[in-house]
Amino acid sequence: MSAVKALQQWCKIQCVGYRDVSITNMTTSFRDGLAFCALIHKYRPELINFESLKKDDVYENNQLAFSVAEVKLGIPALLDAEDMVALKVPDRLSILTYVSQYYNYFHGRSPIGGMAGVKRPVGVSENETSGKKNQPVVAKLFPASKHAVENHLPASSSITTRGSSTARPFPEARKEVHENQLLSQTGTLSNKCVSCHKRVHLVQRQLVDGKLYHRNCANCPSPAPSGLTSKTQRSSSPSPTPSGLTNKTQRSSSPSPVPSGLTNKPQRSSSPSAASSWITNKTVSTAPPSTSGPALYTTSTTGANKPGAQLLGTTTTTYNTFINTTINPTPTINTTLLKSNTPIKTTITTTPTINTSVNTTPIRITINTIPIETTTTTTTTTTTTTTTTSGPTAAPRTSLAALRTQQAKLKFLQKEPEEPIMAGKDNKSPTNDSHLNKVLTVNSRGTDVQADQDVGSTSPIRVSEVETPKKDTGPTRGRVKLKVDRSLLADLQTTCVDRSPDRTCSASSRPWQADPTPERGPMEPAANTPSPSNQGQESSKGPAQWRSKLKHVTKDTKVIFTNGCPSTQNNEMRRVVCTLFLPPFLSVLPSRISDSKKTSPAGKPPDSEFCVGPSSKPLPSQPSPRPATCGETRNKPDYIPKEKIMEQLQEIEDGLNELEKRGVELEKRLRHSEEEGEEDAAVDEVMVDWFNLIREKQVAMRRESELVYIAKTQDLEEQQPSVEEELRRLLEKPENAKTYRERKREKELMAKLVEIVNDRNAIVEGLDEDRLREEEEDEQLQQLMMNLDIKKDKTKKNPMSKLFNWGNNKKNE
Amino acid sequence: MAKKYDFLFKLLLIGDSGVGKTCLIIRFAEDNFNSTYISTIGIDFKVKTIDVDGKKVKLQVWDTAGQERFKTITTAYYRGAMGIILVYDITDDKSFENIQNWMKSIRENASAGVSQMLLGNKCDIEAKRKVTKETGEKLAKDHGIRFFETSAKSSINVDESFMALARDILHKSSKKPGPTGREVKITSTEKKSSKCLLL
Repeated sequence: MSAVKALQQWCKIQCVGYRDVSITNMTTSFRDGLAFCALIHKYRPELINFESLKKDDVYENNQLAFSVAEVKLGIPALLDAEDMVALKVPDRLSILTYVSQYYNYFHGRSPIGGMAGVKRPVGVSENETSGKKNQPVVAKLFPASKHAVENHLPASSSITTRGSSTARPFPEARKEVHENQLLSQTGTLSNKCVSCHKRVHLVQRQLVDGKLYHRNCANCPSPAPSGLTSKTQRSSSPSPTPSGLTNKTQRSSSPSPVPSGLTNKPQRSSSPSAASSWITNKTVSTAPPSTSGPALYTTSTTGANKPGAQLLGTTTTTYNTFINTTINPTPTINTTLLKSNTPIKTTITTTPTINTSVNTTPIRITINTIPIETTTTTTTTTTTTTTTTSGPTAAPRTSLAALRTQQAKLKFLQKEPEEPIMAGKDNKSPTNDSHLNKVLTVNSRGTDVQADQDVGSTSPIRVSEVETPKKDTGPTRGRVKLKVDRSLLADLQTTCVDRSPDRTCSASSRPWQADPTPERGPMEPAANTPSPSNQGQESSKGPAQWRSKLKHVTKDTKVIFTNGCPSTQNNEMRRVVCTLFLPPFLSVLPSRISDSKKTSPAGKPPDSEFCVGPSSKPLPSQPSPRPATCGETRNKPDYIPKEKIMEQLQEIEDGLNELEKRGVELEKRLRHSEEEGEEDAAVDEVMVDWFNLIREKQVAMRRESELVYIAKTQDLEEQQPSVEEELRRLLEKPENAKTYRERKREKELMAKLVEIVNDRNAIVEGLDEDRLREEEEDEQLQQLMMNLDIKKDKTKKNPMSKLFNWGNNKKNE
Repeated sequence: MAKKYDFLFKLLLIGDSGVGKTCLIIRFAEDNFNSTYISTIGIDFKVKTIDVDGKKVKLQVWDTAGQERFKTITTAYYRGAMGIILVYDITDDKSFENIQNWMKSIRENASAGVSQMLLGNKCDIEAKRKVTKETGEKLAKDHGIRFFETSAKSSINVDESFMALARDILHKSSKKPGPTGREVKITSTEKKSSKCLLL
């Protein structure tokens, strides 16, 4: 049996008994999406209510399957619901590939769960934003991406997300999208990377925020530029996409290189605080129909910029910047729109509350009427987001898996800033920091501080933005990636070497207010320069800073490192470092020291002298944190040094690149033989290779997320002592001697501590669930093998099992 | 690594402040000991994978603060535990008397049928002994649970006791059909409310 046949057979067997599902081929049998849903339902009945599905809802079915698979199972959405609607006969190879991922997922062993998806633990921590439990972050993203598609406006997407973060406004809105897409579908069909405009092969596919990317293009883990930026950049490209339009408009409207540009100003004046602006927006937005008619409001992604601006000390407060085009009917816009002949759909998305209703009732504006009105002054506050969907635009695609890892990585990076806060003695104003923290958690970009904070619940959006791949045009891309990695590395090293000093260092070296680092230059696409792509600039600043900081840290760390970690003399070194780098707080030191002393049982308590730092008044009696309990992570046998993790991540990355290279070749061959009308049997070998390759890729990405897990756990374990230490100090103080502040702080720290422990626990449990699922899967696989005796499975399995063992010498705990 | 073990068991140590819960855990999980007393704040856990009758068992050992002030925090973790270890200090009869109270706490907060074990710690300090071994044994017997006298400092009976409890749980769980080792989720409520930025 050929590989294809085997896969088809597998699908057929899985789908037996499902209404309206009959697998007779690997194209049209899947078109209505029910087959995908059935496959998912078969294994995870709780994820899909199959009974409720209708055969005719092609778009909905597919969308449901793709999103569930992505969010819940971590299977990246290779396919696009729009394509399934648009194509009478879907692309066979795409379906084969996609289905093979299901196969791999349900029958393979997935060490960690989703492909590149860091699972539950992350979700849990992020859930706070919506206050809803168990709703994966990703889910929140969906609305956003949908809108992004619709609007092709980065800003709008963010706004939308914000609004709909709690709800999942699928159906109607979706339909809308769908219709639109029908009018102008390019989507996957175009196969062009939004970022580099080169063809995206199946194996490279990465759907991010509704856009198609090369994995590499999308994957730039740089925490910096918010989605906006990339989008802007994207739009700056000559393509006549609506987003292009908007950008142009934007550009023209705000010629100044200042992040928020002209547009912001009016807003700013009207609403001094982001919060207030929000409010205002709400009110205004309620009456969008009237205003929206003639005026094309573009919500600019300024949200991202602004935060940046704030960081820089500017007063920009508004989140959604309303782009008021100063220029009346912009020629460009008109032309494009006219060309595409599509009605401009206006979706007004504003505040969270309003959002849903608005979504369902998209207002359509005819293109011709679009004299772009300049609403510079008061009106600006209206948050109406008018977005035009027309022209060839990327179909709405939502692929989050990679993003999730990305996110995780980013978080990983960002954890740094937390430290100071936890210690509570950062030099910077505490408020700022805490803001940062919050923001950081939510959105990995970390660029916006206050905006997020103020908006509060809106944060989920940020996540989506964050996730948007940073798009760097051309040449920089490769390098960016490297950079990112380096920063990650830096982070890792930092933590690994010595908690306190490094952290401190990083804290000190974290010049939020500092100018953009040199790196920012390259990251900015040249294309954007003429236009005040404020966003690009702005956002890049954020990340650059991050990176620069991280780099600093790295250096420092390295120095320390050379001295050899566990040696006692190292303590001296640490101490020095510690003192040098300011630590007005903390504590981790003692534990560290005890690390080295570990071998001597009942050793004398760590000297209090090690508690460096002005603020850490060493308590005479018990200056040291519990040595063994807290610090030890690194001495644990299973501890994987962060550099190691980084190394492995890099290896995985390299491996992935290699796989993709091979995958491109294989796809070409497969497509070629398909065109030639060759029989499946003839290309079976290639097909098997292809499936294996896809599977390898999945595995590699899982391993990647596994590593992130590990890193996270270790990270948490390293965070714990410092929290504990400060808390201990507070607790030891007599209750009546505590100031109000101290009491508050004590509560916070306690909560924080419990949270750290719970997060660690969540990882343990997440891993355990994976283990249990694997067991079930293995059983099922065994059964299947016995029943079917598919040779292909065996061939598949072998390399895989090798792969699965890969890295098994590492333990998490 | 996900496939590194066959079972995950959650154990929880309770007992008065200062009886040596943390030290037992550190001895068990890291084979280490530090005589400096530092009271546990709230809750913590350590993980160690051991081999029980040929099965790899990952033990997640929860350490609780013995102090009353943390009671509300710690009791929340009882429910997820599959095994609860009651610890007293043989040189401190008050801590032994209080075992009754801890048992009550188990009844109030833990899942029914949770495996239990009683440990009299610090048995290396024979000179200061206040609670005889027999007294401890009797209490354990009365409640039908295992008993050991241990010393985290001298590494006496630590591994043995944990192993014994793990084995009890293993046998208990393997009697049940279906996938084993799955336990009740701990602290889902806490997770919900947590404002987390850690990950």
